[in-house]
Amino acid sequence: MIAAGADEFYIGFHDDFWHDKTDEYAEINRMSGFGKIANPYTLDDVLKIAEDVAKQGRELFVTINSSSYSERKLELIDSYLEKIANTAVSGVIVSTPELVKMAEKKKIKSVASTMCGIFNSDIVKVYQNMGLQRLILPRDLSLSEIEGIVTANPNIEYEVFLMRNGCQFSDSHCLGFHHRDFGSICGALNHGKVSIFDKQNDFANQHETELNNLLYREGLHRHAACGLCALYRLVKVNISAYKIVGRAEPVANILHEIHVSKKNIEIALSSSCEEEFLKNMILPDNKIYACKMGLGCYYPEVRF
Amino acid sequence: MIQCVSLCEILMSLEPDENAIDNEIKQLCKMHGINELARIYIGSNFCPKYFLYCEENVVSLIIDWCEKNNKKITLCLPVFSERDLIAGKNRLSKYEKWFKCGIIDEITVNDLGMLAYVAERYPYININLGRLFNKDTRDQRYPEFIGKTCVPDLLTLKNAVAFDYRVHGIEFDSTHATLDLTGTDLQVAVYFPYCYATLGSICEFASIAKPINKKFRTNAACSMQCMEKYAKYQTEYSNFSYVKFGRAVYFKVSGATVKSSGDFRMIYDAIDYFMQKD
Repeated sequence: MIAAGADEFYIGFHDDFWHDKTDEYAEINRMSGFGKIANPYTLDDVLKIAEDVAKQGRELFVTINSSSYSERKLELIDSYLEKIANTAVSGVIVSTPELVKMAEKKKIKSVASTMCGIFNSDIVKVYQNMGLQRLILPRDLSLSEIEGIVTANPNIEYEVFLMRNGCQFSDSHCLGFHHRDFGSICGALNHGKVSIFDKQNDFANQHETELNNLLYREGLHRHAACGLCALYRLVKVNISAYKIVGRAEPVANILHEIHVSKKNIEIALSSSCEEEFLKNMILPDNKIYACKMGLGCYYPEVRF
Repeated sequence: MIQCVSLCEILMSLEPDENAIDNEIKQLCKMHGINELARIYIGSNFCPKYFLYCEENVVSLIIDWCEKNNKKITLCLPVFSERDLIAGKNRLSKYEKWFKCGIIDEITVNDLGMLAYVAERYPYININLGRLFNKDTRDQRYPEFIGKTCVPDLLTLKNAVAFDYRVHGIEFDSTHATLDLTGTDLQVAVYFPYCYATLGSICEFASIAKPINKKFRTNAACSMQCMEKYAKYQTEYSNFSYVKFGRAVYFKVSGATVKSSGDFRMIYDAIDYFMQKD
């Protein structure tokens, strides 16, 4: 992945004793519900991986980003942070303001996850005042909103989603389990039976409403979630990092997307205007599905 | 138990007429067996567009009704996306006349930015942490999980950032069979019977009238289609039901036991009332 162009990595970990100390449903990170399939490494493993990554001049961030933690869980996490401090780990991706403060206290760089729901510049200010150094902007912000937030709060690093894992809902307030047993809430709803109630119950209105629902469930981000077309504008506002979500994907696909993303960033940097970038950029391999009607776009307003 | 009703997310479905408002509130109370209504919640917890589009005439009628019937009002604010932040604050300022006369004596906020803003801008008004501050997992597909007693994580924290601000109350969803809210002396409130499970900035209903290549934009403008449409879902496995109402998806709980230090508020939402008006 480094050879393909990746500069940073993010990784979670498991702790075999976490559930003994908490409860069977407690999660360290957002993917804990998938057990060791999603989090195959212990924290000690992760620290070693961080050293390897650092030796190659790259950065690694550890995710501690479940939706919520009790005081007891924060105490346990504090022991993890103690281990992480003064190691090759570049920072921690955290989901609550309390964790931002805890990380800062240990002089660990904190990155606010999308789980923090930082949707506007006022919220950025609050987190910045706590010492936050980087934040991951929610997937569900438009480009102009991202530009507005960055302009209002320039002295903090920003990270955005670029490829994969688009979501119908907001990470920060999606509070069902993402467990293997039943999967995500969005998956359950998309695959379930839907009945739409429309007070305008004439055929034309019902058709429009139901077609809309069909596109929402079967079309929106089902085949792709891609932000490549937005790179010119994102580069212009000095976004620090572009996230490619890699979990559960064949490595070959991820390598290709890293390569294409890096190439497009180079094109964006060398383009004199957005039009030039859009003309010269490399479209994703799956554009036959991804680039249709904005349904596969993180930022559909660029092309549509 | 202090009985309250929430007109959040349905206020614009009410007929803008004094007698109709009176009748609707009474019907809503009757539906939930409320015999001593103390407070009405207005505004929105979930949708900045909804909050911005709430027409002043309807809001005024609700407020007049509350004044006449000696009820208090809590104004709920959603999380404003950057695009709507200034408009949201401007709209909020239009309520100030009602803050000052005391009929709206509380504002419920749902993010730290608005908490900081309201605490500074309106120092005389009580502030509640809204239901979006409480991010305990809630998932009816795991009955053994939600059947337990839940002490919300926020109430266990020794140094919760939100409590650095001037907080009067906290609102919760009925996430579990039993909520133990004894860990605080703040005024606690619980929404019932619908618990929100997930929520998004991409509104399905706002996209209905739009061409395909303009659908599903984040925080899109709309014509309040949510006042005419909602969706019910039945999951493929184990047959769990959900309702999508506006931007939020909810599941219904059959009962909730609440343990609290003092008198807690039960906020009866109006989703069933809205749906039965079909």
